[in-house]
Amino acid sequence: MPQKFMKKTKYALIVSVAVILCLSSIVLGDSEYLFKDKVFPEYAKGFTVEYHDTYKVVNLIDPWGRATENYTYLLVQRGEKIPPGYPNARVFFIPLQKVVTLSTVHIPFISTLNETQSIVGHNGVNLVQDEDFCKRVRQGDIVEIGSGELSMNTLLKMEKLIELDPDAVFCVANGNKEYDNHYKLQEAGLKPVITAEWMEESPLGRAEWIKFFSVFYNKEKIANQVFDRIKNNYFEIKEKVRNCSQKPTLFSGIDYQGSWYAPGENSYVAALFADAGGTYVLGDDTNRGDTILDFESVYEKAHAADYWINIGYADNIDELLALDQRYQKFKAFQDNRIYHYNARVNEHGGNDYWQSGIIKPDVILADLVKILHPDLLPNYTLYYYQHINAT
Amino acid sequence: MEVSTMDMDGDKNGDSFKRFLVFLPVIIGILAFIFMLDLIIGSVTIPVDAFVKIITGGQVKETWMHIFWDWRMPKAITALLAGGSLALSGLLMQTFFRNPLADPYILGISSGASLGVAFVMLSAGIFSAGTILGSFGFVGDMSISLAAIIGAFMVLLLIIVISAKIQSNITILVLGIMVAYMSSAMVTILLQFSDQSAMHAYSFWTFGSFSGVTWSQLPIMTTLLCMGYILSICLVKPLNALLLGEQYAESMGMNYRRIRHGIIITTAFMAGGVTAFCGPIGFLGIAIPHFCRSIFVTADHRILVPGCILLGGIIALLTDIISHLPGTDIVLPLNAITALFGAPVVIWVILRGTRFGRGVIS
Amino acid sequence: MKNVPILRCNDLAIGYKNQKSTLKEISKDLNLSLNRGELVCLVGPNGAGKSTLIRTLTGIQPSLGGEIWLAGKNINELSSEEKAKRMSVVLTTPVTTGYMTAFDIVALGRFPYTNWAGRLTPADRQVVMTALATVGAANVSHQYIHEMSDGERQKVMIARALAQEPELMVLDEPTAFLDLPHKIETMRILRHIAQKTGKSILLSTHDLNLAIRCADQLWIMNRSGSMITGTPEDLVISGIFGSAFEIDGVYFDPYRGEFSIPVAKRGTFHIIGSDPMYRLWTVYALERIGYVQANGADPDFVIRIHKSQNEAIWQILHQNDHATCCNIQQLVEKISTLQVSGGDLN
Repeated sequence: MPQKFMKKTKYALIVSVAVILCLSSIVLGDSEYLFKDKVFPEYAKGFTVEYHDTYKVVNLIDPWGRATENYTYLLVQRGEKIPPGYPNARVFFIPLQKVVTLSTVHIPFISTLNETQSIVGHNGVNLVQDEDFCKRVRQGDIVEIGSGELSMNTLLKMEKLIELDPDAVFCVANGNKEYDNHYKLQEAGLKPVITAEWMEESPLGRAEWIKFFSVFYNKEKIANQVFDRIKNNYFEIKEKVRNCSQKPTLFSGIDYQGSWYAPGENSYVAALFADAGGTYVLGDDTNRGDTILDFESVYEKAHAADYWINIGYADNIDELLALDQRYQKFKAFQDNRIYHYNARVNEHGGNDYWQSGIIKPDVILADLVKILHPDLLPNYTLYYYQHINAT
Repeated sequence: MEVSTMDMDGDKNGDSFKRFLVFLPVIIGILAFIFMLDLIIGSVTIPVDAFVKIITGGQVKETWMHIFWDWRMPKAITALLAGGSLALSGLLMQTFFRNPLADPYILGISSGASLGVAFVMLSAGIFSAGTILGSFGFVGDMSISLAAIIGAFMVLLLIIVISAKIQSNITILVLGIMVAYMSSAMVTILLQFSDQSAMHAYSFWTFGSFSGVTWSQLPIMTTLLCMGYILSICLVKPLNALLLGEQYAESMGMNYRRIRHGIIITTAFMAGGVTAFCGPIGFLGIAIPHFCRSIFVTADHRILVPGCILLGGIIALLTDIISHLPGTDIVLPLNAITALFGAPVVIWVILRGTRFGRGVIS
Repeated sequence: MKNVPILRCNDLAIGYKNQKSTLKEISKDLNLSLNRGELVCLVGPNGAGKSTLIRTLTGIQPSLGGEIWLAGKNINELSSEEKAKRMSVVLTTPVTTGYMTAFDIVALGRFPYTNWAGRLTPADRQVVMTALATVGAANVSHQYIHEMSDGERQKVMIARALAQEPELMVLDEPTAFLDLPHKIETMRILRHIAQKTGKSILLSTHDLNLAIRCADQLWIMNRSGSMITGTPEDLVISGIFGSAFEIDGVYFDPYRGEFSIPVAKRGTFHIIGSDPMYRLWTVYALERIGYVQANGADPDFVIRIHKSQNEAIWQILHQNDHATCCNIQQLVEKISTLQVSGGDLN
């Protein structure tokens, strides 16, 4: 009888200790356990993250300094109480389980975090090239909730959206009440999350928004891993180029009825060109953003440039010439050195350069280096870019 | 300034004509001057002595040669011809419809051209119309202009067929407006189904520009527009008769049916031709005929037709110079500049009309 | 050749035709002719179809049947230009063109004769100036037409039709919006043209008083569409003219040559006076207030006019009373107070 009693007590003790330990960890809610992995943006300037024991605070910062466009998101772990002290913040319970995405660029971020199954609706499903996503669309797990256009004036199927009852709707904003969707979404009782990766000026800064997304899913670990890998690749390639003495000249864009839109000196496009060891001839030092140039001044600056990278909305040489015969006058045309990032465009016009390309700046950089300094990457084949044959 | 020769016949109009002939060399001189100015001013600064060398065939930096011959020269010629054509076709429409606010696009010709262009630019993803045209052997940058000409031509055909059966001018006017609405509706539908880059391309086309015409396109455009000029000159007498209205004109021996077709076709050549190569450029067609009437103080088309050709050229060249904002790299959309010039003129016309208490006078 | 009428129609039917077959026939079996040097007035009540006839004759509107002969040729066989050299029009459509002087407008009349550019030869200029002089507008030849009064503008339009040197001029209600002096002047000009140049003139008008005084021929169109033609005086004497236009209470007085304004009759009077003008206007005044001349029967009162060198006195004799007035206004006032059956003059 005492032996059995001892066994039982031992058993009970172990169980109670275990239970107490578990309970205490749950009740005490130590941040050490809840949010073990953390992300901090190094290159991205559009957001910051603060970690607290049961919640995170994400601040969106408008790069153009408009106070109305700063948003605060309060991410509270499910089951926890909403903390006081954040009157203007939008509250989300994480990890998110059902989301709707309004921009194709959101997909690669979410997909890399292995959270594609959280997407229940998207605007423009035909344009997405991610395989897993497309499979889910075919199965009916992801619903089209927009008109599928890429224009600013996208018409959303609001009723379907509301029916899906997502935890968050990822969208883009310009600060323009007429075009921005998030005002309408809020009015409908939905919860928009604005992403501003396209405003980042550095290629790595754009890719770093994977950290922003990871915060909503508690997947900071993956985000850190992925980004570190991208960062290392990027710098490796950049290092290869640094020792090159020769920097070929290049220009980009085309004429739009007398106006040539040239990316500015400080834009992320120019940053890629510079990192790839090229000299971009259309940049304007005084202007921060893009400049609009006259065709003839572009000709003056770029007629002798070695490479022509990006030909606007023309897809091949015939279309380019159909727009204007005078493109033949550029040396880059005559030397057959035109490249465009339309190597991965699906039949509906969705361009992967603007999808997975956002989180693969290292691949884009490799493409550019391959174009400008082919000997540095002998075994590499172009991924997003392709040669536009002018002969 | 008015040389009032009150000689026995009191022919003030004859005086107007003589005065016009006297001023003609002056106007041509101004035109030549502005033409040269348009060649000289641009976003790339080319020093004046380089110009002299370019024209006399001397040795000059190659880029400047190219810029001058391949960019500035065709642009200036285009502006010159387009301005004259728009002004002339505006004059024709104002006299034909006896409406001082008529413009060259009132028959819907430019809407037809826009539809043709939209079809090529926006449906390229569906039908690759551009490559279809290319397979017919049409040189590269003609496909858009060709589509515009075909579109304009279809509308012209429609209007001619209907006008052969219907007497009333109002019917033709309404028809033109309906065509414009229908075309714009179809363009909207095409826009709905097109991708972003195609949409951007199309919307830039609608801004209008003289810079897009290259040497290979120039001969066709010049032919179309000069045919319009010649036809207009032949129409001078009937146009004068039409000032009294079609019933009087017929009673004076004019074959109204034939003249009506002539006016419509002439307008189609000019308005359609300009739209095909430069996009839809507004305001010049309404404003310049009024400008002309006020400067020459006459309604006589013997003066107004050459007057519009010359003045139209001058004003168009001016708007081109202004839109290139000399000294900077920036280019303003052409339609914005023509509106800035044209809108005040239109308002002035309306206000001036009320002074006479009769509403607007043509 | 001189005897061939300038305008003739055989069994002409006029009216409106819609696209398919809906016909509205206004008049048919019209057989009219207009001789050279004649001025013909087309009159008739509103809506009778005068404008339709004018438009059909000038070719603006197609006829529904029959033939029109202009200067001996079928009008449908004439080219536009030939027709223009034979016939010119003055219409009711307003001319709203700016910056056109009178000279310019009249010069347009030379359209059938000038070259492809419309250039005026000195001979053309002469014709234009003569036309302007004929209508009395030579001194305003340099004025802009939109700055002219209606009367002047009308003259210019007539001059334009004249400059076209036709054999026949057709005018649609040319006197419609003019004041009386200008109406008369217009008719005078037209008569002058017909007599001096030998051109024929056809015009439609509502001014019956002027029409019967100026026209060589009257074409009366009544509401049923039938047409009566003839010399105005014959038509008046035969009573046709009067009956064509009489409506309730309004009738044409063939003795006075004008339409009388009916007034309720209140009494009769007898008038004595030697000056015809004073007699006439006293009679008019009394008729206006309702008193007619007693022809033979016993008058209610007698008026005697005494006219001396610079003044006149009216004497009223009523039963046994008499009163004196020094002008017609007093006369009328006095008589108005008079009761026919036993009133008092004082």
